[in-house]
Amino acid sequence: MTNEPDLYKKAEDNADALRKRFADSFDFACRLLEIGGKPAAAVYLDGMCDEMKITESVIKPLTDERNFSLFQSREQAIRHTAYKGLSISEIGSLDAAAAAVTGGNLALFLDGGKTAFSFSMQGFPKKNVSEPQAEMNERGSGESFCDNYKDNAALLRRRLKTPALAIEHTAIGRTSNTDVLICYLTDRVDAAMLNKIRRRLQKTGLDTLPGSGCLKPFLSGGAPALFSDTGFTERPDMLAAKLSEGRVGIITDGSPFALIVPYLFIDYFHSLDDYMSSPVYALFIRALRLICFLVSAALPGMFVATCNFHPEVLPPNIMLDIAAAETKTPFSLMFEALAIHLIYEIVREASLRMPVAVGSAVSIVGALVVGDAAVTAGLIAAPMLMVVALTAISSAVVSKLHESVALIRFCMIILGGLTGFFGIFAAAGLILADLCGAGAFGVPFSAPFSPWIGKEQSDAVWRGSWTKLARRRQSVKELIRR
Amino acid sequence: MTARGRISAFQFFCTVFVCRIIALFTFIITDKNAFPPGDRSVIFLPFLLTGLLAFLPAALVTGKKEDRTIFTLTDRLHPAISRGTGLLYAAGAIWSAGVSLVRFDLFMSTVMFSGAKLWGFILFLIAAAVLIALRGPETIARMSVPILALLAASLLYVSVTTGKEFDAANLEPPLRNGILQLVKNGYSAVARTSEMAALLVMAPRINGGVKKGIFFWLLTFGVTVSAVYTLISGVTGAYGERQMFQLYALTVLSKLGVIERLDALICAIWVLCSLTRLAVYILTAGMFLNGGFHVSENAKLYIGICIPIAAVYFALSGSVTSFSKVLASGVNEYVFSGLLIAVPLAVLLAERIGRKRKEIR
Repeated sequence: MTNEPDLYKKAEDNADALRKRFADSFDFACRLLEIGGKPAAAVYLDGMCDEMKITESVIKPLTDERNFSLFQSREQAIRHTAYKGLSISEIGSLDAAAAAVTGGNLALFLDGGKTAFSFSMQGFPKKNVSEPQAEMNERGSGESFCDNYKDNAALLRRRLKTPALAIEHTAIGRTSNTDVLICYLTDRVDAAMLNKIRRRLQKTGLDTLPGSGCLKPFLSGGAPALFSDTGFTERPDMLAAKLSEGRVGIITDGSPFALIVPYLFIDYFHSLDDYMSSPVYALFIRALRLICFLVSAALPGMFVATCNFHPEVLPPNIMLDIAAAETKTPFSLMFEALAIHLIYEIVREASLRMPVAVGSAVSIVGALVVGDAAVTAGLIAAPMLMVVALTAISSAVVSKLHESVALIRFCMIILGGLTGFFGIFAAAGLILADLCGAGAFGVPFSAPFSPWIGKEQSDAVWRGSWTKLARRRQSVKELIRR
Repeated sequence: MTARGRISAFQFFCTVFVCRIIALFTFIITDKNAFPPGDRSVIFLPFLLTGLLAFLPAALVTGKKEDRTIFTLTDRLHPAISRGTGLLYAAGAIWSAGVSLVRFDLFMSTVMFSGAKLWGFILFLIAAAVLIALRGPETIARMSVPILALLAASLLYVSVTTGKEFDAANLEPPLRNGILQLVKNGYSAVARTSEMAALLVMAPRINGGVKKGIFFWLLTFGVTVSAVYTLISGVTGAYGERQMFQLYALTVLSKLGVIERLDALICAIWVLCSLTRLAVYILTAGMFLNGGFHVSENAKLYIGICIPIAAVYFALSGSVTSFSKVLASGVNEYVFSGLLIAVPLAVLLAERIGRKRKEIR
């Protein structure tokens, strides 16, 4: 390949060279034509391009001699008149031609031509815009991102109709060359932060990019943390809202989830619905989510610690009921809690991975075996089951934090079972340090609470009224350490 | 906002508050160190006055613009002095960390888990503190603020739930042993704030008025101590006087609605304070060694610092009686006086003499 010229003189030679590069793949298509009286070759990948569009918009007009009579050269005719409405670009090498073809373009080589042409002919099958699957909303938009990055860019553009919205294109993955878009508002983003993001994306060194989530560790940098300071969303309206705060969005081709950098801890507790309801209700619901986070992370551990070490915390009658139920089970409280949470995680994982038709069966078996049979058989006590149920429901409220919460929960159970509240609070200290120490691109993850930023409190746990929010422009620039 | 690696004065003093208050909570009252109950209500006055005097040398070391460390001055004298100073302060931090762990261990094994061997838990705390210290001063400073908020909430809870039992007849008049004794008690309370030595190495990293911060910190902490002791005396009276850990005795009495006793939960919050205090000592020991010997502050150094901390802990944690004897010898007061008064004064003096000599030449 190193001895190859940029482009061969003959169109057919160029087509042959590309064919060799694609190792005679079955979907490699080449059509030899005569354009303006000279031979030409159109190369594309079958299935990646729209065949009808190729015939109607490229082959037919190009082979019509009348289109060439007004121009001095074939290149001029192609460039200026013939194919309005098509995205056409010039390519000067076989490498660029190969990249264009893999992207669903048609590469056109002309005999004796110094450049070739690339026509945007994408016609590959793709998922349509559908309802969000992971971020349900009561009163927000019904559209979610899809797998195609261009469609996702369009969804974003529709919500931010301003020339200030910049969408930069880059490709990541030595082999996959996955299209990645960096989106931001030029008048709000912090330039230094943006440059850092660009640099980190360029330095990934990935071979392939299976999904947007693979970019997270490269963006966060630093030591691995329990909570990610890179967020994700499948909602274009959410991404638009975050970009308007000066953040940067990263859209990856083939992934319906866009990344948001930087992302704060408090963002995990925000939902678009909060902005549609009254401030008081928003406060209530955000506080509830925070409580659910604490419950899902610490309740089982606290329950085990209370029963094992600190029974004085609960009123004697409740404690006696719990003790009566627990004496009937053969296992220690800590083992019981660990086992039942492990079963819960197994059921959850199974229902995620199994075909939808079988999923309901798994849920029924899980509910019957764990919920009923285990209690009846005297393997698990009913109070513990209640704790697990409450924990599971609470973790669903803050589903974006599930990964971190599941790990914390197991640690809390073990520490609660071995050392009581003291171990739990020591672990809480570590978690707090993790929260306070994280922060991508100079934005503290624990902001605006620690460090306390008064100006930003109007949309943290408390959500100010729209009349107030409309007067101020929230921006992460305020949070960046100077 | 602060640049990377820098903290605000508010965060710094929140950290010192959190560190110092755990020394108050786990303070072992013996016959030798017990303050007369009446003096405790007004302890904030001598605490403020003696504190201002005691922290003056440290404040002077930081310079007018608070952009100097103690090593800025010692480096001007001789590199060997810098190394000696680094070693001395690191040893002080290690000693204080060890003593702090013993206090916490004795508190836990005396009132919470009577007779339990807690060395495993203490080693876990040390490991956790190393992990926190590795994340730097910014992380510790930021995490101190929510811990302080939690602590304030727990103190408020205890005050509200036990306030109804408050009886002014339990209080005693101050100055029973004379004003000199009150001042002495004030100084010994100040002398338990050895973590303030961090100022000597961290001042350039602190944004805002450090000197003003010292005054407000002394005032706030002194008033808090006085208020807490007044509450303890007013609620528990003579019963409280016989308790080794008086605030714990108060938390046991707090009760609200169906919640029977929250003393275990409240004391669990103190674990957070202990962890912060330990992390601060490990971090400052690392910073002092870095200042004196120019070693990089990394995991190896912090683990190395933990070994003598654990050794101090194992050496002193035998029994309350032997530990009380160590404390009664006044070793902590000597450590504080040496590190925060004598050495900074000596360094300031030597640096000034050296500068004058250069000017004369």
